[in-house]
Amino acid sequence: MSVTYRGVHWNRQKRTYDVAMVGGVALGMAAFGGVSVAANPNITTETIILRATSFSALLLLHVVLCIGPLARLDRRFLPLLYNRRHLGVFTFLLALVHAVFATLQFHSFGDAFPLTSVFFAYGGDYAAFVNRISDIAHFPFEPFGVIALVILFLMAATSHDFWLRNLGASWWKALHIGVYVAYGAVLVHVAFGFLQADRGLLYPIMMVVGFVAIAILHLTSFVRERRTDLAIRAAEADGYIHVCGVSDLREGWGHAAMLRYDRVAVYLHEGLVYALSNVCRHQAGPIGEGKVIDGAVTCPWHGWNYRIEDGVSPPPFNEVLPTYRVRVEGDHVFVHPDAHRLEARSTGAPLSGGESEVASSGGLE
Amino acid sequence: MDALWSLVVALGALYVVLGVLFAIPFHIGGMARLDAGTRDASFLFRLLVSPGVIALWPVLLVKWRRRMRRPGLASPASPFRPRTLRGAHGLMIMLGAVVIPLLLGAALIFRPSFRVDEVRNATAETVDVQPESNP
Repeated sequence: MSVTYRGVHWNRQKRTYDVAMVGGVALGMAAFGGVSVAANPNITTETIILRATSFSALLLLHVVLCIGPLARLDRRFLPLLYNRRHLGVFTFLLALVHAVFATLQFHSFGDAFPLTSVFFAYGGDYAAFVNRISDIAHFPFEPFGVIALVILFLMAATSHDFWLRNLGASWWKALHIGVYVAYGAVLVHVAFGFLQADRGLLYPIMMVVGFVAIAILHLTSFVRERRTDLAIRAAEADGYIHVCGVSDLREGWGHAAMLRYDRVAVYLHEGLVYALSNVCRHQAGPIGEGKVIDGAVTCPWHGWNYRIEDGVSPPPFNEVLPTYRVRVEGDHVFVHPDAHRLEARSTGAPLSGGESEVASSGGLE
Repeated sequence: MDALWSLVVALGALYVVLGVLFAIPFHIGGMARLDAGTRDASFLFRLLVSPGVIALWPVLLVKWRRRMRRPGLASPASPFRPRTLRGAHGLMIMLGAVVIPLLLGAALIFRPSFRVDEVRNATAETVDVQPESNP
């Protein structure tokens, strides 16, 4: 972390990510241009640039929209999420080049001011389209491109951490959810614009496949998160607190987590999940950073041991750590903030799902 | 209709000009008052945030004024509500899953048999040439 802002926090991973992104788009655009010339030798350079940039921007927008749900569904996709903002900024830049070329090519030779012409040139009269709804030739598709471009610009312009801090997380996130509006506007722009001029089936099929992929990924991820929310709410209603995910636990190792105003050490041992106080009775060392040795959790500072089931130090020692009820549901681990009676022996919660039980009640309050 | 759009574009241009004028004093003094982390920030950082400063100048102006009135106090951050945002996110997804197939379907079903770009070019020429030929 730094106390002052930098332009871009470059590191090796980000450079690799960006080189792959720019290289991939450059290769894709070159291939697109080659195929376009082969298919139509009379095509102009302006038209190739216009189409290649729009094709690349739309493709990147699909990638951007797929990364979020993919990373939520499978952690192996998290590296793609790591630098997604650069992908978003690059998408905007490609869309901007497309918009500039489109304005120059289609709107700069008339009497009307080019930026004004964008809004009414093809529509002629919006009322004409409204009166004859099937007259798609007059559908004002270009303003939808402008709407998408403005949203992509706002997202790119506020992608720096400075904006996250100064707009606040809620406003920043709300602004960036606008990407869905941008995607919808882009689809309208393309479907009622280019797809009406192009009589082939390739582009409509690509758009439908792209939309179906995005929709399936988002709906699957949304349903899963919804289930998680419901599980968390149900557990909270029973007084439990969500402390971590099952995937955060490693066999034989501890995991420290917040439990209201205190910390709790969550351990996975032989397929069962246990929770103990995080504070060692010796010198308040972090129990959650230790590991299980011979069935006892071991403080990383001075090696003090506590049996994992009841928190009692093996004889001849007599220190005791409070233990807690644990519930595992789906990928989530919950701990009840009310500790067991001291020395109570817990069964641990099965990793596959379930709650811990008290095998013997213990003797100390 | 074109007069209306001319007005919209002119107002947009005015907004941008005001944003550029706002960005100058904001970079000189306002930004550091708003966020102490920008005090020693690089030129590249200032360049990167400038489009946002120009686009969101009314928001920054309000925040800057608040900070001037209460120097030393951090602006009260709006509470982060992940569940509300997840709800909005879900709403967007549901809405898109219904509306987008309808729009795509309409665009493909009503696709005319003639080349639309020729009609569009003819319309555009009519619109653009009209003021000159019919003063």
